[in-house]
Amino acid sequence: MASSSSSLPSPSSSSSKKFILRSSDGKHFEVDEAVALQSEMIKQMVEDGFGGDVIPLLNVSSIVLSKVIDYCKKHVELDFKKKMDGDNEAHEEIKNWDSEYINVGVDELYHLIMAANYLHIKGLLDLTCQKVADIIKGKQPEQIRKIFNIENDFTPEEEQEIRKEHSWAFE
Amino acid sequence: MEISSSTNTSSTSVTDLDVDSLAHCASYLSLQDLSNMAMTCKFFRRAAYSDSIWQRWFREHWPQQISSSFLQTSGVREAYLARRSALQQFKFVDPFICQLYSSSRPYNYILLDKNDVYLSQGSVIQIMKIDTLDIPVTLADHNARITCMRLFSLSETSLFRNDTHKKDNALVTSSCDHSIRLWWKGHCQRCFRGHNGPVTTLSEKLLGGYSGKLLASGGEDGTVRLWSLASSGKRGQHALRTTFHGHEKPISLLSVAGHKASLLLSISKDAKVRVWDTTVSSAAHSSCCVGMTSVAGAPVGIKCYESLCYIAAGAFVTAIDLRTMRKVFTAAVHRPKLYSFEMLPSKYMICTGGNYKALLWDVRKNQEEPEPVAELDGHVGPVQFIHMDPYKIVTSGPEDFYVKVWDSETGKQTNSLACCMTEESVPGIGCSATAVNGFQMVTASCGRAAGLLCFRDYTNAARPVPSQEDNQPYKFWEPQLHSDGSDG
Repeated sequence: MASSSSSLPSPSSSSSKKFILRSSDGKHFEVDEAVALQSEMIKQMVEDGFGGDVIPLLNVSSIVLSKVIDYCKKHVELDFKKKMDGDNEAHEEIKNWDSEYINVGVDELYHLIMAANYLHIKGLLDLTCQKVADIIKGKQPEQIRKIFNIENDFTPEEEQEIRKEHSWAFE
Repeated sequence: MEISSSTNTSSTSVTDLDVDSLAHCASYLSLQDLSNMAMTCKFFRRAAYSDSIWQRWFREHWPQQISSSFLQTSGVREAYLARRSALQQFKFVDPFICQLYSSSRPYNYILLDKNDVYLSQGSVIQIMKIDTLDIPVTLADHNARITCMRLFSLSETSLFRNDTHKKDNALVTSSCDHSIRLWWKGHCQRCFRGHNGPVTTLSEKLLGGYSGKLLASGGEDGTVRLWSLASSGKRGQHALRTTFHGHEKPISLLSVAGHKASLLLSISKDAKVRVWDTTVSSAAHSSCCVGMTSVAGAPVGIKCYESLCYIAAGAFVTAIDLRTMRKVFTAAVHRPKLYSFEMLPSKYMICTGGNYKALLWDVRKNQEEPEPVAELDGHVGPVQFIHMDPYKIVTSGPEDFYVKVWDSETGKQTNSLACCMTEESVPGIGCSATAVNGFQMVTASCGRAAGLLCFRDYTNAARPVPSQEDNQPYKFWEPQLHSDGSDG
C-alpha cells in the first residue's frame, strides 16, 4: 500500500492511530486519526463501526484530497497550539494561514467546496463559501457572470421583471 | 487577490455546486450583493432566494417578530420584503415613540443621520443621540439664525483621517451671521467666511471637478461661492476657491447638475436662473456663467436629474434642459401657489405642496396640460414639508397637527400621525420641521408654552394599521375624513 503522504509526528501524540483514505482516482493517503476526524462524515463512519480499513472517498480526487488533508492537518496542529498557548496568537495564525490557503482560482474553489460539503468539514466549508462571497461582494451581475463563467439565462423580459422587483436593493 | 483564469479544460463549473452550498456562500452577502447575485442567472437566483438566508435576515433584523405564522409562509423572502416595505411605509400603530419637551421657540430644520438627529433652533444647533434619546450637545457658535443644514461624507473633508470614520457624516450649516460652519464630533471644526451678508443656502451635493469636491453657497450679497471642505486651516482661511458674481438679488437655492457634477445652478429671489461652470478658473469670472434663464414667481425648490432641471416657482414646476437652457415642459401646475416641492427621479414622480393638499405628478405624462396622478389631501393649512422615497411620501405643514404618510406607488394614505402626542389637536399648531429616514421620523411642533419633539422608529413595530375597510375602532389614527377620490 503506497502512502503518498509522509507521516509527520502528530502534535496530539496520544493518538497514533492511522487511517488510510482512498481518493476517487485510487490513490492512498495515510493520515492520523485526529486529521481524519476533522471530517464529520468520516467520524460518522468510524462511529458506525467502519474503521481500520481503507476509507474510500468516491467523490474526491487525489489532487483535491491532498489539499483538503493539508487543511485538516494544519487545523489539528493549530487547534493543539491554541490549547497550549492560549487563544490570541493561534487565532491570528489560523487567520493568516487560512487566507493564504484559500487564495486559489475559482475552479479549485468549486472542488474544495464540493469536497468540504461531501466530507462535512465545517471549517473548510465556511472558509470556501466566505471566499465565494468575497468574490461576489461589490460586483455588478455582469462582472459576477464573467468571473464564474456563467451565462445569463434570463430572457430580457425576465431580466426587466427582476430589476423591477429588486428596487429594494437600490436605495 | 488573484483569481486564476478559467481557460483550462476543466469541466467543473459553478453549476456543479449544489444550491445549498451556494446558499451558504450567499449567506455572507449584504442585501445589495444578494440582489446582484440573484440577477446573474437562474441558478444563482435560486440560491440567493433560499429560505435559510432570508430567515436569517428576518431573525437578525426583527428578532421579536418571528411568529409561527411567519414560519409557515411559503416564501420567507416575500415575507421579509413585505414587512420591510410595510415598515418603510409606517403601516403600523405601535412604533417606538419618544417625546421631548423643548422651549417654545420652534425648531427650523431637522436632519436625521444614522445615530444623530441635528436640530436647528434659531442660531443654535442641538444634537440628539438616537440610542440614548437625549440632547447632550448644544452648539451656539453661530451668532444669528441658521438658514441651511447639510450632511456630507466626512471623507470629503480635511477631518478624514482613517477608515474607521469612513461612514461618518459631517454637518455643514449656513447662517445669517455671514459664516458657514463645519461640525463633527459635537464641535465646530471649521468656519468659512467670505460672504458680505447672510448666507442663505448651501448646495445639497458637493461639486465634482478637477480640484477635488467643492461646496457651493449662496448669499444675500447675490454671490455664489465655492469652498473646499478639504482645506485644512482651522479657520477656513484658504477654503474659498471662487466667487461668482452676476445675480442682482439674494440667492434662494442651489443645485448641482445631474449629468455633469461640475455644473452648478443658482436661482435668485427674482427667479433668475444661472448655470455656472465651476471648472473654469476663477481668474475669468465672466466666463463662468454658461447659461441663463428665468421663471415666474417666488422660487420654492430646484432639483436636477440627468440633463434636466426642475424648477418650482410660483405655481409651476418647469423642466429646463441644461444643454440648451430651453424650457422642455411644464411638469406641474399647482394654483394658486406652491409651498413645497420634492422629487423622486427614479420613479419619475414629483410632489408639490399647496394649501390643504399635496399633488403627485408623473413627469412622463405631463407634456402639455399637466394633470396630477393623485391628490394627497386632508391637510389643514399649507403643506410645507414633503419627504419622498421609493416607499412613501410624508407630508406636513405648520398649521396641521397631523403628519400624513402615503404610498408612493399608489398615492394612497398609509398612516396619519400626530406631530405631538397631546390627546386633542390645537388649532393652528402643527409641524415646524420634519425629517424622515427609512423607518424613522422626527417631527417638531411648537405650542404656546412649550415645543414638542417626537421621534418615531418603526423598526420593531408589530401591529399593522387596520385596512380602510375595518377601520372603525381606530378612528384615532384617521382623524380626518378620508376622501375616496384620492386616486385622481
